[in-house]
Amino acid sequence: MRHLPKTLAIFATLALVAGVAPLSALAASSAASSVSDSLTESSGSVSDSLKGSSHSSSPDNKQVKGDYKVTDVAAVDGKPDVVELHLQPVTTGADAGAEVYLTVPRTTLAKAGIAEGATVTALQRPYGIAFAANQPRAAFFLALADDVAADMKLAPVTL
Amino acid sequence: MRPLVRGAALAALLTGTAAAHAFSLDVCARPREPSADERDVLLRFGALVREQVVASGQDIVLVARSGLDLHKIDVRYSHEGVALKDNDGKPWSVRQLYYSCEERRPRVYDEGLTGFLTGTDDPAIGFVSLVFLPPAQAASLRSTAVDKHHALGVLGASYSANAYPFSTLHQNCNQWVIELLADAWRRPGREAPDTPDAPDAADAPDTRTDADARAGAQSWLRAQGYLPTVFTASAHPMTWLPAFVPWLSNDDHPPEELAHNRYNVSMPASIETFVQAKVPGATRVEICHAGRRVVLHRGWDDIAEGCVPGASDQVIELASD
Repeated sequence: MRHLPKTLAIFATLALVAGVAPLSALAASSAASSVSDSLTESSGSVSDSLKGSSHSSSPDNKQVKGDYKVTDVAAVDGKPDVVELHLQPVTTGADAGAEVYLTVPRTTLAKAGIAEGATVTALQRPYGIAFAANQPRAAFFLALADDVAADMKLAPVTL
Repeated sequence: MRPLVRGAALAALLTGTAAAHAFSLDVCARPREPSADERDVLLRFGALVREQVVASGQDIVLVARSGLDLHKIDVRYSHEGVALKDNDGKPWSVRQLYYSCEERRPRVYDEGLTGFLTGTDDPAIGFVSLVFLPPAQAASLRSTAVDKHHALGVLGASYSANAYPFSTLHQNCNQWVIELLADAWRRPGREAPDTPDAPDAADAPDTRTDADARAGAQSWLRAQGYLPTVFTASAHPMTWLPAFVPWLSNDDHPPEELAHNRYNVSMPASIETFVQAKVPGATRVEICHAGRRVVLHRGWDDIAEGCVPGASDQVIELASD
C-alpha cells in the first residue's frame, strides 16, 4: 500500500478528467435558448426573479442598488417552493434604488434568516445584482442578467 | 464538495469496502451547488477571464480549467475545451467533450463561457489557462472546430478518463481536443505547425471517413512527437477498477506500459506543451483566484501553488461590496 496516496491522487485526478455533463444538460438540450428554468437555490435570471414596482416587468438593473427593507414576504401562486420579497429602498432621493419584487426559493430565505422587516443590500455586479444580508454581510441570492444566465447553458452538439 | 466526495469514495474503493458501486455513481451525482457568496466570486472571476478572452481579439481560444489542487502530482488542469466566438448564436461558448452519464458515452457539448468558467469542482480556489494561437493556426482550428462533421468526426464511441492517446478504443475530454487540433492542422489547406510532414499530412484528398479521422489524427500526433502526460501508478487496482467504474479502462494501454505502471493520458498540460513547442507565436495567459484574490500571469510558466502572485503578475482584489 506504499503507493496508495499517490495512486489515490491520480485516480482522483482522473475522476475530474471524467468531466461529466451536468444533469442540467438534459434540460438545456430541450430548452437551450430559454432562461426560464434558471432559478437555483443561490441564483436566477433577472427576468425570472426580479420585477419592478409595476409588478409586471423587470426593472432597470442599474437602478437596483443600495439598502432595502423587506416590507412583505408573499407566497407565489402555483409555485410553493418560492416566495416573493417586496423590497422598498431605505433611502429616498435621486440615488435611491428602485422598488422591486424579488423571487427566491423558500430554502434560500430560511438559510439566510431573512423575514419581513429585515434589511438587505443590492450590490451591482458585472453579471447582474447580488443581494446580501446579515453581519458580516454575505450574498444570499444572485440575480443574473439574462445574457449571463443564458451563458450558463449546455447543449449537445448534433448533426 | 464533489471532488472530495469522489476522493473519499475512491479511498473506500481502493481499500476494498462496499463503496465500490456507489463510487461509480458518485461521479454522476449532482454536485453541491456553490453558495451565493461562492458563486459571486466565481462569476466575477469568470468576468475577468472573459475580459482577457475578448481583449485578445481572437475568435478561438484554447481554455483549460482546474479541478482539485493536486500539486503533489503536478496536475493543475484536468479539463480542456475550445472557446469559440460567435458560434451558433452565442457570443462565446466552449466546445468540449463530456461524459454523458445518461447515455454512458462521450458527447461533444457547447457550453456558454460563463458556465464553463464557473463549473469548477472547488469554489475556493481555481485556475484557468488560456492559449492564443497565431492567425493561421487559429483560422484552421476554428474552421475545423465549428464544422460539426469534423468536431464529431474525432469523437470516440467509448469514454475512458485514462484513455491511451494512441488508441481509438476510448477517449477522454482532453484527447478529443488534441485530436481536433491534429485534424485541423494535418490536412491539406490547413496550417500545420512548423515541423516535418507527418506521414498522412500530405496532399491526399480528404476522402476519409469518421472512423479514419481519429486514427489519422493520432498518427499525425505521434509523428509530431506529441507526448501525453505520464502517470506512474500501481496498475494492480486497474485490473479490477474498470469493472466498477464505467469511465476507467485498462484494455487500451500497451502491456509494456502497464508492466511499468505507466499510464499515458492526454491532459491540458500535455496539450499546452505540444502547442508551445510546435506553434511559434502561440501565447498563454493564466488566471487564478484564491478566495477574492485574483492573479493574472502571462507566460508558459505557471502561477505558484496557492495562486500566489509573482513579481510581474497582476493582482486584483474582488471587493466584498
